[in-house]
Amino acid sequence: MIKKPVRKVGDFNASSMADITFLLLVFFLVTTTVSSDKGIKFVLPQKADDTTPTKVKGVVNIFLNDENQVLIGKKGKEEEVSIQQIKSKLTLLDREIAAQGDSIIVSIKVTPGSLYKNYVEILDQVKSAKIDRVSLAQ
Amino acid sequence: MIGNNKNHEQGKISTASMPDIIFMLLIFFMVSTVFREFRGLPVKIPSTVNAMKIEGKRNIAYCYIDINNRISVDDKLMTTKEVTSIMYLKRTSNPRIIVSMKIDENCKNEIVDKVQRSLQEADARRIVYATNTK
Repeated sequence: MIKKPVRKVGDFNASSMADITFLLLVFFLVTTTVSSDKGIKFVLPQKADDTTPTKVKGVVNIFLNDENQVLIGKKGKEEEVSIQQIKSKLTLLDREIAAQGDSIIVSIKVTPGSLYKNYVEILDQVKSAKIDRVSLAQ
Repeated sequence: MIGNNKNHEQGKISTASMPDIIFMLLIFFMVSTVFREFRGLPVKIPSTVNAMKIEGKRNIAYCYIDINNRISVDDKLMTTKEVTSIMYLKRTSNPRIIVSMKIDENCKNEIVDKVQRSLQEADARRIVYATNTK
């Protein structure tokens, strides 16, 4: 019997492991998009099969027309304002309606020819006035 | 006291744990990466003051409308009817879906209204008007 020479177990060279993982890391770092989506949240009304007009108090109408002029106010008492004035006008109306014991609901109605930019601006103003109850009239 | 420093070798930082640290970072980025699937249409979205952050990229479906009234969902141009069917599919597979509306600021509200109606039809009612912060 010849004695077998003791075989050395080869060491696994792990020094390049760091380089490989670095490479992968850099790849994922580059491909990751951190930019988050921002915007104005809105919940569309349920699909209306038969719209039953409900009598609600405290509704404030905002109209936007093709010439991008804005009317705001309670029903029948709308007046023309600029988009930037909506916030202050709404805060006033909010106080007025709250004094009567109701809570404000903003109803926005836009004409088909008006610009989307102005519609979003109106929504922005309404949000600035801290009003959550917004409806989109169709 | 003088003899104290005699055998003091210059200490080297052990790099043995380097792969572990990098692995950890790697795994973090692998998990948090969401690949951008679609490029969308070139739109100039409006700027607002009250732009809120939307959490959860995986729950967002994008709907682009450009200045020429083209509608694009998942990089496919489509009609409002097709928007309804695709959004219905998306909503049934993920009930928490939020539709991010990337609409050009100079679009007319007519097309916006049409798309919103088709979203209502699909019962995908949670939407976000994508805006930039002013």
